[in-house]
Amino acid sequence: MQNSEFEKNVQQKMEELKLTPADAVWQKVEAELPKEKKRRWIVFLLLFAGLSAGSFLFMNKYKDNDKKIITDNLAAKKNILDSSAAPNSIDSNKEKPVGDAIVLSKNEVLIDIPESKLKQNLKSSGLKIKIKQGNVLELSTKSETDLVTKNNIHLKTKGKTSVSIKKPAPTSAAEEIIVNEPAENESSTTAKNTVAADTVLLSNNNLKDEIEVPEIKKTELDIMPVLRKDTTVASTAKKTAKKISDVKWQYRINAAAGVSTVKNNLFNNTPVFFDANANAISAPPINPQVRVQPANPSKSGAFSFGLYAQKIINDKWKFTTGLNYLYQSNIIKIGNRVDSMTNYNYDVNKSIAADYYYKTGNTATYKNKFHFIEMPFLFRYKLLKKSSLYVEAGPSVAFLINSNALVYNSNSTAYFTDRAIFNKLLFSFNTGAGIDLAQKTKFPFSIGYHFNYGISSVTKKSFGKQHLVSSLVYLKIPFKK
Amino acid sequence: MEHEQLLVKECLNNNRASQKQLYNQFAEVMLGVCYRYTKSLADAEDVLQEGFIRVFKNLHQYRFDGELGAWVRRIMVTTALNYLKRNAKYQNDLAFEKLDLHPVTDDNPEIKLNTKELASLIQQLPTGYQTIFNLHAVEGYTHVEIGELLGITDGTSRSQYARARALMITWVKKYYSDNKMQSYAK
Repeated sequence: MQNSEFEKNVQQKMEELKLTPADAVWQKVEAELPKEKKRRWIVFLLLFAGLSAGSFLFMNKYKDNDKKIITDNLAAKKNILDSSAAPNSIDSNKEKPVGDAIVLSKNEVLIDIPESKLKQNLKSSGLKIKIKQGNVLELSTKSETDLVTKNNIHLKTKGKTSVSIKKPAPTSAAEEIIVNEPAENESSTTAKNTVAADTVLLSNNNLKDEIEVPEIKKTELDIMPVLRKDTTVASTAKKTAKKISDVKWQYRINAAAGVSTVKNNLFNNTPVFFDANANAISAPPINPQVRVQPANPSKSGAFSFGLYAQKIINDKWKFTTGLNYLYQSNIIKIGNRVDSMTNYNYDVNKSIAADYYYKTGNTATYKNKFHFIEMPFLFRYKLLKKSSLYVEAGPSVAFLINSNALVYNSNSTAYFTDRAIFNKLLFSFNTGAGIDLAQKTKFPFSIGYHFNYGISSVTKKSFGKQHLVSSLVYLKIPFKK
Repeated sequence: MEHEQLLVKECLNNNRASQKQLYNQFAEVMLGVCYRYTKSLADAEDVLQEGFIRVFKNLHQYRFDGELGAWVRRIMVTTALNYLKRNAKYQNDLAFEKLDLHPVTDDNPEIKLNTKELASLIQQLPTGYQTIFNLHAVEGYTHVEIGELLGITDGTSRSQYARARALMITWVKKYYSDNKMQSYAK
């Protein structure tokens, strides 16, 4: 019948029907269109910048506290030095100690000073200086008198160069390599553990820039009580010195893979698709006699990759943040797809018109995929002093880039999807454990296990709860040691 | 086709100028489609607006495996159907009752009405008849497809269509004779 003459005529005439809409129609359409994508990224970048700034300020709090303690120590030391300065000490009448110096032990002092200034001062004093890797310098002395002399020259500070002045060891300390190892004996004159975790001090006789050391009278020892007697200051400074040397962030590449699923609730077995809240007022009618219960999602793949930045808080604690791409998925059994636009009312005056839906059934599988940009804030705790094992935990914030995940509508016994059903900003709880391996080699890395539970539901309240859960095994490789 | 692909890609990139271009390209024809399913131009514009929002929202699902115009038209039709179901003004008229199968006549009168006159006649059909007449006679949907779209049996669709067709033929003939009378009178 459709192709009879009458229908053909009607069809032909109606194809020609054109009506000009009012301008207001486009304006209303435009108002509903999403904002420019660039703006979305700007918002995201602002969020990222804000969080980064927050982290930076948080970490700087430690640094400021350290500096305050150091300044206090210096002030105390300066008073002692000023009051007991010997008339024959080198340059004592010209310069005063003004910067960051820490008494590491009764035999060592750590001074922050610009390298050029240090050389200039030491040249006039005649102390022997050995240039070390990076801007860490070690000053070797031949006797306690040298040590005293060194402090009496009142090196200017305000720089970033760390200088360790060491009392000579009973044996030849000049050939010793000190690399981040705990001291076996606190009273050791080499004081190996006075340098924080990632600072490396090397002594090598082949190094250049040596300056001849003048002879100093032994009596000068008596005018430098701070180095040998002020053990309280030394003890405090020893702790803070470790923080100072850890001001840099360590950057790592992260790659992780595992499985993920979705839960209504982590702590019970409430089905995800049992109690959908959406109300379809115009859902396709389904015969109640053939009503099929919805299936629940099962596990599927998950992976992530990105960059991490890690900051050492102290011996035991580290703070980690970063930016990850995170993919999570789960699988669900469904029935046939029906290409028919269907309306779902989910709130007062709010509805979703889906172009298609899936019936319940077991004829096909559907993979619910979630793509996130995630920013974790993890606190890492080293379990044992002599082990590289650690545990970590903390929150993370994630931005949902895209998803094709289905929700179940109990009124129409159908699954459907739409962008409007998802929460874009999600908060998660993370925990895990790992181990740092090959840290003293050229290729250090960390492996571990990471568990992530979505505190926020990825779907809006009206569409039931979907808390994403993932278990990942990860590999983290630092950019450089 | 290449032009359409480029246009769609630009629309997906949220390029406002391209979105406006796509709108301008189809708006007039699609308003005609919406007009046939509703009872007034204002309602048709509401459907058009809602339909275009859906077009842009679901443009990523367009696979370039058919004409873009046909894809947009399909969205407009489904949007119109949902509008009718949702809108109280149309809801009562949309209660399809299974009628006795009405004999389909072989009458195929010549349609001498112009496009707008014919559209106006279609608009005057009861909403249920109007919907099924549009879906079958104009869009070319089968009765089985109409049954799935509207949640009725294909038999109901057939009987409703037969009555709608008979009514339309009567009106077309009457409209033609009335106009002829009027023209003679002049």
